[in-house]
Amino acid sequence: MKIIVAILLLLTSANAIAQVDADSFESRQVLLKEILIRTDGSVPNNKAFRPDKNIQTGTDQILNSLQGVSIIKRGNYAWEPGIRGLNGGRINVTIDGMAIFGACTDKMDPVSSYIEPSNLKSMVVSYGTNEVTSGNNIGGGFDFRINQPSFKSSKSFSGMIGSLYETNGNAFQTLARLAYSEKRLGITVNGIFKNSQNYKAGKNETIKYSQYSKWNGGIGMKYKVNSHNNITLNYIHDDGNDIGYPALGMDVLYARADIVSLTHQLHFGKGILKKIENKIYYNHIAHAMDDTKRAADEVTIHMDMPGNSETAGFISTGSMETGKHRLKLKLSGYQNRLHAEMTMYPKDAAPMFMLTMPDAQRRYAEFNLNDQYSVSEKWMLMTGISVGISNSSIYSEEGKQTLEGSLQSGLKRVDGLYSFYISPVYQVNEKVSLDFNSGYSMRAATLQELFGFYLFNRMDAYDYIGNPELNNESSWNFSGGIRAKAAHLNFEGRAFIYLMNNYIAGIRNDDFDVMTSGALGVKQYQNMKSAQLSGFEANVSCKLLPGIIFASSNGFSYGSDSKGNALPNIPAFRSIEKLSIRWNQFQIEPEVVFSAAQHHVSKEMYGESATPHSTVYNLSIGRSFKSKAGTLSLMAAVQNIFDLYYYEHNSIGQIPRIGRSISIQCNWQF
Amino acid sequence: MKHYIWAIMAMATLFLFSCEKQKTNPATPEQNLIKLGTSTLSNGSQITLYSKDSLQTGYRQISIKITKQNEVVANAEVSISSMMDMGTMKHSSPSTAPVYNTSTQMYEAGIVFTMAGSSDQWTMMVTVNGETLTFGVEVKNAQTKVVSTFTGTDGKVYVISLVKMKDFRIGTNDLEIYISKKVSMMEYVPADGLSLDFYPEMPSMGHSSPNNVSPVSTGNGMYKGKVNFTMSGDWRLHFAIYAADQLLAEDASLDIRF
Repeated sequence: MKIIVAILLLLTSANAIAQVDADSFESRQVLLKEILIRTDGSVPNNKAFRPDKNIQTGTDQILNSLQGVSIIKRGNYAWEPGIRGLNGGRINVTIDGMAIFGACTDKMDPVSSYIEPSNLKSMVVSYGTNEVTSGNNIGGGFDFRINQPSFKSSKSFSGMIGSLYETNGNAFQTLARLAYSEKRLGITVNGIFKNSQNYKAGKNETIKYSQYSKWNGGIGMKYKVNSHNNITLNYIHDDGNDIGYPALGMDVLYARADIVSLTHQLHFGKGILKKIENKIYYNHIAHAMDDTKRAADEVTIHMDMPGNSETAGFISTGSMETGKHRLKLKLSGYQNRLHAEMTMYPKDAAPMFMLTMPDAQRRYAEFNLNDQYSVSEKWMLMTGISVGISNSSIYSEEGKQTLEGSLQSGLKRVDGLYSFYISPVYQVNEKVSLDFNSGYSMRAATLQELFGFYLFNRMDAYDYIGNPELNNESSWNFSGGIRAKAAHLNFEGRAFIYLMNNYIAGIRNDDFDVMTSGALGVKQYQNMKSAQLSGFEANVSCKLLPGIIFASSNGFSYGSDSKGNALPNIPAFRSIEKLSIRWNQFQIEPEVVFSAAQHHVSKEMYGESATPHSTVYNLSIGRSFKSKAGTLSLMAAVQNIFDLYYYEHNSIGQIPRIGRSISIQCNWQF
Repeated sequence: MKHYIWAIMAMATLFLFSCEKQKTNPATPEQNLIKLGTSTLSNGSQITLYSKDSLQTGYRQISIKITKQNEVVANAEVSISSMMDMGTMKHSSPSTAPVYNTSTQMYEAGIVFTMAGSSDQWTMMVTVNGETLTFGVEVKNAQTKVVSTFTGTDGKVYVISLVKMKDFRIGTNDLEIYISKKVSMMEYVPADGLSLDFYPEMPSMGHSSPNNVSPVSTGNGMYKGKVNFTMSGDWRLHFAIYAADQLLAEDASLDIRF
């Protein structure tokens, strides 16, 4: 019985665990392998990932290794993460809960491309409706949690430095992470630089325009005013330059983000109210597409396409504990402004200018109430509601004129949104627990879906036009899971189904002429009656021999809209088999990644083609050396050992993935 | 700190006064116009011709100011016509009858210059109360083709010209065109009652735009509609022109750039 209580405690205090881990990252050994923690307690469908275990791996690559996370690739940089095949406005992507939106009209800059593992304490992946991502989404989301400074009773200084070199693409990166702590002051500083030339796919095929270069720096300062109050300032700057997008017609000259937040925490020792946290934040993204590095015959018409996104907001949370309840109240709000333009330079004619995101603005406010109720030793109940209001409009006269000319509808929208969930967890016995989640959630159409003006989508080769009269999309999400633990075996499985209403999709509209040369037509966003998504994730791990662990992780999604078309960007069944062998001081990990063929596609509706199956073999070997001065870790890895020429279902333009690549990395932690 | 405040206040005061000085003279309508020429009638009245910009091919508004002993004359009988002397031949061009505008205190007329020419070639004739004065004017080529001459399927020659040529913006714009029919080398008459099918196109891209309104006849050769520009740049305005059910011209086109 004690164990059950312990598990429940563990379940309920997952956030606290993450906190402890993160605050002491500098003192832990680098295991050079990815470790997945489920923050199961607070939310059964959430996954948290501690990036310090894999600090040299890119944010998008870490997400790519998680089941239930689907990644859209437009090259070798800025992969766009989705959840179970849902992406864009259907999920929320936040940094410490802060709203932030990419500036690129061609989806070149998902939020995850502006954040590096060196900035982070953890990444939380939320599947569906729950505490982490409650309002204005239907498919959950990602929350990237910034590594916060900590206090220590005596002055201490710690950190790590590391470098990585990869043969394929001649890629190099180097990073450093430093932390200083004393009684009332904590400071963290981190920085990373990475660049890569064109990579080679299998069969030695060079993928042109797949280079990138970026640096990212973060600083955090935390000051303890007194035993109850502390103030934290965080700032991250991310600076990408000369980034190639082989799947698209243009590259990126620069992609820059500035992300700043100021947080006040008020802790109460006793009483029901435990903690109040207030945060104000601001972020700005500047992005410029570029075609000047393309071969002359690839550029039908030279153009500049800059864009920016600016968001300011606040988050206030209060945490309460009363007996068996843990309550969390949250009030948050933000304003986001998007501006994107295009200037084309035809030969022997005047430059052509247009607004592609015609100065769109959203103001959003939301109230959340979440409760964890420990009903009994066997039952726990998590519930929550959120109520939000979204106000979308065009903030400039020029933007209004642009849209009013082509759309015969009002340009102001006010949408009320709500969502709720109920998630019981049942501990059958010491070894087995069951969890269920049922939730209803709603989202307002994104600013792109409402006001986008001739945005070209490479996937189906259509220009997309916004529709300010879209209805909110909503979804009933249901999932059920089982977790079983035996001496040498762990099993975890979860099945889900989403029943979506007013599914937003682009529908061909012949009233409009194509703007982009080569486009097949113009689609306007419309509500479809419904859509449905279902699937499962299943993970097994077992100890085969002392020092040898086998892990298998599997995921599958299947989606259709109300007209029977396969939903887009849904990867087929994927399975990752991995052995972790501890031999003397070495950690050896052979891995097989199998992706089944995807034939459930709709060429007509979403422009997707079938994708053949692929099997990729990887291997890594690592070793750590400990001394008083610190820990030195070395790792060598071979990716795609057999140099397979392949692409994945979400490789836009069927650009082949990276061929054989050998990497070596070295990290020193002190 | 105090010094700064004083300094700022002093500068602000200076700024305010300097602004006020500039506002002493109220603007007259002629100040925004270009003077094309001036001449005197036998009764001593002074006739001055103005245009908004230096003259270019296309439909141009001409403003005529008549003063007698510095008093504005508003009740004269005024007509205007044009003449092109090409050496081997002479011809006129379309024009609209002058109308007195009380706010500008000038007679305003439209002249369609169908081609470029020097002040020896282009002449404007202004007739006031039966007495005609001539003004030689230089007409340059417009940046784009804002006037077009075509022969209809009825064998008649038509001139189609854009009335408003500036201040286009992205989004919906008023579109006004003037169509006249050639009666003889010396006479053009407004062509009313035609029906138009209109669409804009960006020649370098080949695309059109949605929500355009084909211009409809409003009398005196004028046609009004709407054009939606999705972006700035070069646009070609295509007109299919019908008289009753007869197709006069399949594609009369005008070009603009903004």
